[in-house]
Amino acid sequence: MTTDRLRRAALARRKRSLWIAVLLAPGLIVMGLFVAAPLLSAFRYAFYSFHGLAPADFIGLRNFTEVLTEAPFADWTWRALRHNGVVFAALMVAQNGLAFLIAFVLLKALPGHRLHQVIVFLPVVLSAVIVGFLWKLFLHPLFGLVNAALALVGVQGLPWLGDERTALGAIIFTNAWHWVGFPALIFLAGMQRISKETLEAARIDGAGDWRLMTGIIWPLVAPATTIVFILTFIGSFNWFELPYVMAGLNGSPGGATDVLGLYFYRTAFGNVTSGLQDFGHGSALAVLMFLFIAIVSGLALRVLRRREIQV
Amino acid sequence: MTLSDPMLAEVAKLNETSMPYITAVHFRYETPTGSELLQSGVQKMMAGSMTPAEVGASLTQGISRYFKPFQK
Repeated sequence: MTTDRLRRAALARRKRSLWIAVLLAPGLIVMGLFVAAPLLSAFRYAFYSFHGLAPADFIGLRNFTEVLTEAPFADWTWRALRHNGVVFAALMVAQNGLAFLIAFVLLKALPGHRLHQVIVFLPVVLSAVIVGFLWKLFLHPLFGLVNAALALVGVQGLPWLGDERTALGAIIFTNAWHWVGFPALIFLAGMQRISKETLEAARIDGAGDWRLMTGIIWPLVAPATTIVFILTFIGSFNWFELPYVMAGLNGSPGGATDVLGLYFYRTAFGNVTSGLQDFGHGSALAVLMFLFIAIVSGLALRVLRRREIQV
Repeated sequence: MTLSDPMLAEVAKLNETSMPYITAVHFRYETPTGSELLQSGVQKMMAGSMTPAEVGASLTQGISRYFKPFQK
């Protein structure tokens, strides 16, 4: 009797496992074919030299040492990485700082806050290609909206995307305009999770807006900050669409807007004017980018999680 | 072929040593290609952040990876 029940339980368990396997299989197959396999092949290609489109000789780590230490590749790699770092820092301060302030204002539920919430979030739903194209027109030195507006107040505008000193900043600004609604929404959700009693208690104790924001809300939205930090980091170091649309594959002018995504793309798939494809160096760059982003995000996640406070 | 027009002849003469022609025909089968080195260099030169001599030096250094006569 007992063995009969045990056998039935084992059968039910096996049936359940089979079901789980059947349900998981489609997802696993798709992920395996379209995510894991290309990733692994990129790892493999990074160790080969390429003549044409087929991997030719196994050359060990030479592709890696060349992109990291040998001129002119190394200059381009470090310049692109430096630009990615600038993009990350600028977005953290300008885009996410502004998003935090916007979220704080929206939290106050002033008249019309729902409309403003929609307006702030609206650009996020646009595609990066459209945003890049629009802002390229807005920033045009001759007939752009920005310089026309500046001219009205008597300021002579610059060729924003054509000047080495302003090109990267102009694209960062566009990115902030495009994405500011997203961190604002995450911060707002975090702020709305804070209990009303906590905020009211602080108010009764005489805390003003600044004290409330820095002393109470900032530490309590730490989980939201973690998410925003990690997403901004990954987005900044994988930055591709906006600089591609606004500055082209070369990161013009003169590489002033060159970032790792552009550098990887034109190395692996060929430049606009010279279609030479170099999958060896390209794959090495892709692997380095993957490792850098994975390791730094992992470490940042650990550090940031530790400072989170559970309410 | 000889060109009778003096202006055309002058332009054709320039083509014998012009860098875009040389980079497009001879230095585009290995990385970094002559074109990409020259294009980013000329952009910097026009913006004033590189001198023509520096552009020439960076082009020579880049091409020297695979062009033996430029290797010291």
